Amino acid sequence: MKIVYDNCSIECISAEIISRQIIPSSYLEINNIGKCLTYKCKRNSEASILKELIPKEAKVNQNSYLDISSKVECESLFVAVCKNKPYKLDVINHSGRHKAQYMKTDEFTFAKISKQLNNIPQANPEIEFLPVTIEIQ
Amino acid sequence: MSNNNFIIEKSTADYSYSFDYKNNLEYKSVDDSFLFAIQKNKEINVISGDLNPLTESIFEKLVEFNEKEILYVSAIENLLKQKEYLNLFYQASQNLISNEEFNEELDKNENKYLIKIQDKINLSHFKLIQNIISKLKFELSEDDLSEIFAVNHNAIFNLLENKKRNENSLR
Repeated sequence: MKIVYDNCSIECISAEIISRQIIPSSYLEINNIGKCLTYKCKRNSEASILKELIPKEAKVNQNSYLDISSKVECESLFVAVCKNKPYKLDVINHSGRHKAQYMKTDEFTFAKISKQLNNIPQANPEIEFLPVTIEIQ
Repeated sequence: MSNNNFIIEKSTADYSYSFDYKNNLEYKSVDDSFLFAIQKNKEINVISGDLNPLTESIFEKLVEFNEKEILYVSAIENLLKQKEYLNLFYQASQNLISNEEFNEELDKNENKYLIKIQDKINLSHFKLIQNIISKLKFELSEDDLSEIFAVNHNAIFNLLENKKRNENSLR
């Protein structure tokens, strides 16, 4: 399933990320996720689920897509991966003549569309970001 | 001041005080009044009086100045942490340090690299952040704001959405 609107997200334990530019950003500690490294993916970005979460429950956004092969496609993508060191990036041929950067994650991965493709109209109503609340016992 | 009590009668409007810790005075709070105090060389100078629009706006400016300073410091610290992390990663990627040394450094000096994201942000802080970023020449996304000011992007998103809804309802 292809997902294209602002704020849509996927969550999984392994994902394939493709973008013209993948930039490691900050080492963060976020509630529900824990310590993770964030990436900013710019220009023609996509992320698809290779392995589903076990149990299959969203940790960050209640509206995240969790099914295998779910794919977000957008202009800019925010990615958080529970690994303290950036993955090695590969360069692949992608979309005709253009090359793209590629990485495959193997830890909890959250990928959210921060800017959708320009040629796609805005979702109406806008997609809601519903944070997952975990009660502390 | 929390360990010392000072008494200042309400009738002291238009008067200012200077006293030290040895004075056994106590301040009784009353509605519609102000108390302004500074401490220097173990001496506390206090001005109190009836509240008026001028003193109220001075107080609001002071609070805003103080809160903005906290935000600036936090933003600089977070950007430095980001820089330190990317420096460390650069060393590892150039094989100047091993993977083990990279992990050990991250574990040992976590506070130097790790940005702890807060779950909540109040509206006044959000307004101050908006005010700060309006002066920047860079266009920042929610994710950038979240990392710079260490605030959960859900919280920033929700505040942006509420702001949009409020603006639409006013039209």
